[in-house]
Amino acid sequence: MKLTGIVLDASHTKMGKSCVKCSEAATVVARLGDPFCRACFLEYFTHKFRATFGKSKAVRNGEKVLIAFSGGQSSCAMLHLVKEGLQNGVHKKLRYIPGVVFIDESICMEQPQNDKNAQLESIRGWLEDSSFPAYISSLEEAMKASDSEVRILSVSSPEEVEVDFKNLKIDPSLNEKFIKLWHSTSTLTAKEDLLHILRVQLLKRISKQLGYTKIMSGESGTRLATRILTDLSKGRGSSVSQDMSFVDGRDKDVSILRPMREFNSKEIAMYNHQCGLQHVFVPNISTKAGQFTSINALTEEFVNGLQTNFPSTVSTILKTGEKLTSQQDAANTSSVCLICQSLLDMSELPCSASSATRYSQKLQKDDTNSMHMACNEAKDTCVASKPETSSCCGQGDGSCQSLKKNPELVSDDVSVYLCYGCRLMIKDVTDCSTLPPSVIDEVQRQKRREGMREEIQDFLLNDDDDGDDR
Amino acid sequence: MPVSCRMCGKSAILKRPKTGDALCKECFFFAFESEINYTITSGKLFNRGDRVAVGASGGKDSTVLAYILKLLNERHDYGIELILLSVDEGITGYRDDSLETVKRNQYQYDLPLTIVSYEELYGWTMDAIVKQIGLKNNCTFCGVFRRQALDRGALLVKANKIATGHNADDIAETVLMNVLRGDIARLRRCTAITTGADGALPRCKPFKYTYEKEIVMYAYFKKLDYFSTECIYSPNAYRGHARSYLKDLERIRPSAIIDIIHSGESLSIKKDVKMPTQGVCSRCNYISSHSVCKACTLLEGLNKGLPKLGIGKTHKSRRLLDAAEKAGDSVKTETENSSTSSSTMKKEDLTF
Repeated sequence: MKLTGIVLDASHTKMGKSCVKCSEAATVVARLGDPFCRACFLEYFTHKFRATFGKSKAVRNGEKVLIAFSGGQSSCAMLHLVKEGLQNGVHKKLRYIPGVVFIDESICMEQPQNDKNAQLESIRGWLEDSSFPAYISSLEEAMKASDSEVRILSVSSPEEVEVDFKNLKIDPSLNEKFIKLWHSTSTLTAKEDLLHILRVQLLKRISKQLGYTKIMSGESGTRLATRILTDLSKGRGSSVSQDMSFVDGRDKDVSILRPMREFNSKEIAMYNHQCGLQHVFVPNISTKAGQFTSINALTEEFVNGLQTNFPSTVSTILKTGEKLTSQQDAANTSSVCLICQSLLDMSELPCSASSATRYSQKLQKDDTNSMHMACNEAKDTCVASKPETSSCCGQGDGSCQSLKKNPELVSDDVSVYLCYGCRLMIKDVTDCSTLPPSVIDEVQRQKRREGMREEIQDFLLNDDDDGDDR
Repeated sequence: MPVSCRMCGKSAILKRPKTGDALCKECFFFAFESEINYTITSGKLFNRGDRVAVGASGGKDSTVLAYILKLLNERHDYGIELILLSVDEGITGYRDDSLETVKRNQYQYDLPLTIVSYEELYGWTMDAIVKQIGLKNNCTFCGVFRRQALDRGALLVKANKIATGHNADDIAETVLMNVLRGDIARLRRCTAITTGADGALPRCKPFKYTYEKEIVMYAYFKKLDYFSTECIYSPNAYRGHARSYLKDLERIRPSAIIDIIHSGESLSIKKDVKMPTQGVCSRCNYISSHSVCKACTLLEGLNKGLPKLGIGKTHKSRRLLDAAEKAGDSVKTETENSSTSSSTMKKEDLTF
């Protein structure tokens, strides 16, 4: 974030710009040419942050809220705002009980150990400084089976003060699992998606394990506007609403809050500058990657470019997104994607983008017999192929897990349980058996249940009640 | 090393942009035609006995559309009657040339052709409009007028449906544009394969799921005769951004175009969002979400010498008109006009 030209120096203030609120000399120009003095700007910023919570009434008094801290501009501002809001003597003290967590993602990056340690050291500085209960975990933990606990280091407890990489990386098998998955993911777009999904999954697991019911994620308005466009471009239109709203309630037990969504990245950078906050530079997989290497990178470039020339771009995109909804709230009974927990959006309508794509694929897979395929037959292709019945040892309740002995999962097996966007992502993962165990196990479970259901099909009286809580 | 066709095993000559598979010419034709047929039948675009006006501009999309609709109508016996319908906007050096192509197509495909012109419908050619308004905003006039001209032309030839050559790229681009402009009503409408079923003539887009590249490829290998030049008045900066973004997306992930259409189809809009209600224009009876439709407003502006009327916000243009009528004084109109023009100038890139 460049600050040149945003923070007015003395020579500019001579030109007669004064704060719109108190007529003191202005030091910053917030959005669309509103000059503020330092005090009014900070007040405006803090008020907006609190108002975002106030509007939604999503957080109850005394609720435990976990702040997801990445070290970036936005999460530094967020952590600072929460800390300020909890100080004694503040008007309308915040009522929730915060904790803070950092997820170490350095496994995705090849960096000298010294750099990694230095970054972790700065992060630890921030965490300790917050005086909240603080935790550190690492991304590989997302590869742990869903029934086991993830490893979380507590920064604030005295017995575990020695937080360094020797402490963090404890299980080499997880490390190996992650690297395998990483290497079998062929495109940067899919890698970024995967990283995002694993991070969110891990955050949810950590909060559940520690007894938190809300996660605060520091995505700025600029970031969310970009997310809306990337979602659209990746076929995730149906989850736009959940991906950008203040409360993301896809998970019943832990919801994600986005309190920084009303600020654009420029405002956040100015806030940090005014408060003297020094964010931690942690390179990620997209750092230094070219504009044309991933959909995210391209879209970010596109949004920032437009924002420069048309300053209302970000807010217009966000307003459009706000008018959308997910059908998830309405239909709770429908099934959700095993990976991203969004509603399954594979349209079975004969005339839709997904059926048109299936038709194209079918055309090319079939031999020349299909030359005479009548249109009616084509409709059959619209129904996603159901997984084949599995053989079981005879216990019948799937407990024997005979399928587990046969881990030959092809992407078609997994795809059936995924939304359109996640299917696209999986396409770029060459070896589906490298997916996190939490996903694989769930696929196997669903497959077993479908097999069981098929077996007892003839004796079921009611179609709706399938005893499946999926 | 020769690559063999994915479908028949003979040597392939092209790679399909849509699926990435290598195909021979015959199999590509077969796949392309089958897919259009699938879209038409699954989307129930036509009924037996329909008289379908094919919007023909002489460009690649409409040329291929006319060709393939005729072909499929004969092959699969849709039982529809096809008419070519062209709109002459009156752009010298662009439309007059492309209309020559349409006239040739008329004989090549043996389809009747009707041309309606802006001049006879509205009394203005685009050349004359551009002289009035300049090179900015002119696309607003052209787009609004063309939409109505197609409908009027279709009524003239007694057609009951219009088919246009909008391809998947166009639709994906429109989805993005409507998000960028915050136009939620159009965002909802723009992915429908048939629109305007209530009120006006239904319009359908048989190429909704067809990549632009494949249409060019089809025309190239079928050696179809089409006209390809950019409109001389067209540079539309903002839409250009969306277009180049889409092209870049396609480069990164070729399926992005169809993915965006899928996203567009699966969007659902909050119930409490206010939507414009569709009514009828009080002057020309054409469908409109205001009491006076856009075409009538624009035309009024042209005829009264206030070409900026109808560009930008509605209440501003109303005010402009009221001021002009009250004053009756040409000098005052002039100043009023220039003072509002600066505020509408900012908007104009977003209005088309």
